[in-house]
Amino acid sequence: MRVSTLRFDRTSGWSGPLPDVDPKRSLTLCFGAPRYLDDTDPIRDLAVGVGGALLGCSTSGEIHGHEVADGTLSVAVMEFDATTVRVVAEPITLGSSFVAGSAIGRGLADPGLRAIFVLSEGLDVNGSELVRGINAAVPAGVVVTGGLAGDGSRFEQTWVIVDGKPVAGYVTAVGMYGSAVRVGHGSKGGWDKFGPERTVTRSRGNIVYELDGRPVLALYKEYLGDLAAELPASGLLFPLAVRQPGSAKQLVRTILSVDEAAQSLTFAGDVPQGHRVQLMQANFHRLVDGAEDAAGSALERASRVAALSIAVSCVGRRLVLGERTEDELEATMHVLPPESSQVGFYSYGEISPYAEGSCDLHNQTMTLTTIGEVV
Amino acid sequence: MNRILARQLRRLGLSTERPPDDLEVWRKLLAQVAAAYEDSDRGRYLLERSMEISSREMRDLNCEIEELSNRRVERSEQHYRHQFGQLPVAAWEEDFRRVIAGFEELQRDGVAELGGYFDEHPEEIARFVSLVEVVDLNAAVFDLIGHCEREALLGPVDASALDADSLGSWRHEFEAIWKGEGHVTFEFTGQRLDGSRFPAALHWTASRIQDAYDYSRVMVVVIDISDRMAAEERMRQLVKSKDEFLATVSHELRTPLTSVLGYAEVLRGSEVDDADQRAMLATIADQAADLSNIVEDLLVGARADLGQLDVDATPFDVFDLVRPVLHSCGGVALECTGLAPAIAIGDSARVRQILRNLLSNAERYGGPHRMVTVEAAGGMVSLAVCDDGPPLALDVAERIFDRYYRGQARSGWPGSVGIGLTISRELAQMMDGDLRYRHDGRWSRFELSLPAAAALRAAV
Repeated sequence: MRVSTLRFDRTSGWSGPLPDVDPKRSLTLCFGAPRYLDDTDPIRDLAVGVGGALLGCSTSGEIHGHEVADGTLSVAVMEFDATTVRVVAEPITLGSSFVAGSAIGRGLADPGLRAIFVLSEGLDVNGSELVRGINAAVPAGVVVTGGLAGDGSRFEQTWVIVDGKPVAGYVTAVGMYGSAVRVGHGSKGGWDKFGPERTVTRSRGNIVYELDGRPVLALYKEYLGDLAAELPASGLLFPLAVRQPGSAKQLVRTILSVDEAAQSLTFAGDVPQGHRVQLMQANFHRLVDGAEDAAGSALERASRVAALSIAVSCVGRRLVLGERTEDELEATMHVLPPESSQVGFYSYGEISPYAEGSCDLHNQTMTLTTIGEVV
Repeated sequence: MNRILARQLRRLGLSTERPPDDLEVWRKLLAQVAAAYEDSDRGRYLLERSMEISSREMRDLNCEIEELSNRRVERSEQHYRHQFGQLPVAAWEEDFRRVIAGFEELQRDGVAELGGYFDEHPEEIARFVSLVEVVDLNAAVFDLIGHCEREALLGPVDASALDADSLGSWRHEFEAIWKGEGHVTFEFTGQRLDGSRFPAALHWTASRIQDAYDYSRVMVVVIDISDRMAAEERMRQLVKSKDEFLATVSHELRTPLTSVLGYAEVLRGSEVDDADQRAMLATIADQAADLSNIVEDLLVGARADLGQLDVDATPFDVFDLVRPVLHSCGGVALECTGLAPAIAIGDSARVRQILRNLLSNAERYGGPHRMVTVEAAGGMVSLAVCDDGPPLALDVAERIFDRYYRGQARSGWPGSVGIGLTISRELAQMMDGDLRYRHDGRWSRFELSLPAAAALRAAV
């Protein structure tokens, strides 16, 4: 398996010549700035120039090696020795997410399917339903990873590549087949939980009003003490760990906004009434530790065979880490074998198996997918 | 090395072997280290704050739990006390802790089996009884044993007043404790404060708390089972009467059936002259009539039990009813007092049945002379079947109307089913009349009274 990585920006153009590969055995990944929805030439050039399977989406920051950039395309071209790939795409909306996921799963479910990498519309989608639909259609043991497309910190419009062109409102996925392919995955948060677990006693969708019968904003402020003065700007630093009663699986929900009048908090995902929640805080170094641990997990699962690492990290982490964002990318690269390449993107949601179980939608994690081949 | 510091050095291209040459790199390293400390401080601040709030919340929660728990315990106690006080059966609580201490002493002295010990030292039962304290009792106790001051029953039990039977009941309880049991039920003869006795059932129950019985508040419930035992006795008598009834009915049916079958066989199998034939047929007819009467009585009794017995209320002349019956009996005089005809209101068929029963009884159990009198007085028509037999003993006169009661028949006469007088009285009462027995010095009289018709009532 050979991997070539490239970058493109409007000022410098392509960082190198497009690689010459056998289109029947190649898979190209392209993560690009939201602006390429209207500026489609570079993607068209990539599709025509390289040929073969092409998968990509918009980002909240393009990852290339240990660097993060905005306004670019970050590309990896893989040429397999024995692995075959197939790309499918389906329209998707908030209400049809499960159906679209099922269709994607059915479109790829063939004997020999080892792994699926999925990229979806990042706004008009229910990520949890999408992965539920895929899980329902593919056999257990197939590794499903991926992420939701980003739009910087604007949350306005995202795209994925379908038939060589960036389009909105679609989900696309590639299936990898054959016994030679090695796909690893790792997903870590690195947030600290604090305070007791509480019950959501009043919420509507993604707006939470009360925890344990107390106004949620007052509770947050009580716990944050002097740091409460930094709200709502510091909201990203204090997400909420959410779990369904009876289940140990926790998901992380980031604060989007604060409503002083209603004493409520709005999160970047549903926080259903009756669920159990716990306050969390960001610790920069533990976030980077988390990314490093995710790389370690992915590598272990792929038997340390990793020609390419695809990093999908939450936009919330980038906003928290700020100028230290590249620390987490450097940390993953440090763990990966020296010959490995890394591309990826900052996303609106990360998809990977929860530990060894079926895949799920995460928030605020660094999710790594490693791809290698043993012939 | 600490992984954060290692990462910082790596990001700045530094090694641990020598300090940086470039001052700018040194400043960057210091800035990163400072930021790491600030991160750490922030995390510690939140953690300490969270711990402080959590501790406070835990304290508050503990207080709430304690308060709630106390309230619940108090409520449970009140609920229990109320239920205990309102129990409709006599209940009290006994404290056996001093008894247990006494048992422990016995065990230390090598006593292995309490039953054997009590057999050898029966006086010890009373000593242990005096170690028991009554700690509470409900109002029903006074209903059971009589009234006295409540305090008189509380405290250590006075063993001196107990008889052997009562001490025996205590022994059951002691042996249960010795064996580590929590429930004993037995029957014994209880004693009221006035010394009277009553059959009783005793339920002795110790609560189980944390895998051990609590003998400090053992609930004792005593129930007066006099009613139950009387009911059981009645049931036994009833079963006996039923058995006797079935035997009698079988016998009563078999006697006329034997005659009917015998004569029928004779008539079928051999030459019989006309006179004998007529006599035999007459006997068959008589016996069949007896059978019919018995069956009719049984049917009436069964219908009465089921509440399905109906009687007519139509006017009829008692003389018209009595004459043909007496004609078939022969030898019974009819005496009329007052006006004739004597029009009564009732069911003439049922009155005929009553009259037949009374005449049959007089024949079986009465004196040799019999007489029927009819008189109208006081708005009632009275029909009396009399015989010159001796008066019935007082207790027998009470019981002859009981179902299945049978008197001693005259020699040579079969006994009856024991239902005739019962249903006769029931029928009389259904017709707004009555059936009574009395002896007027000469005659034993079974008097059926029925309401007189309106015209007659006006005349008398």
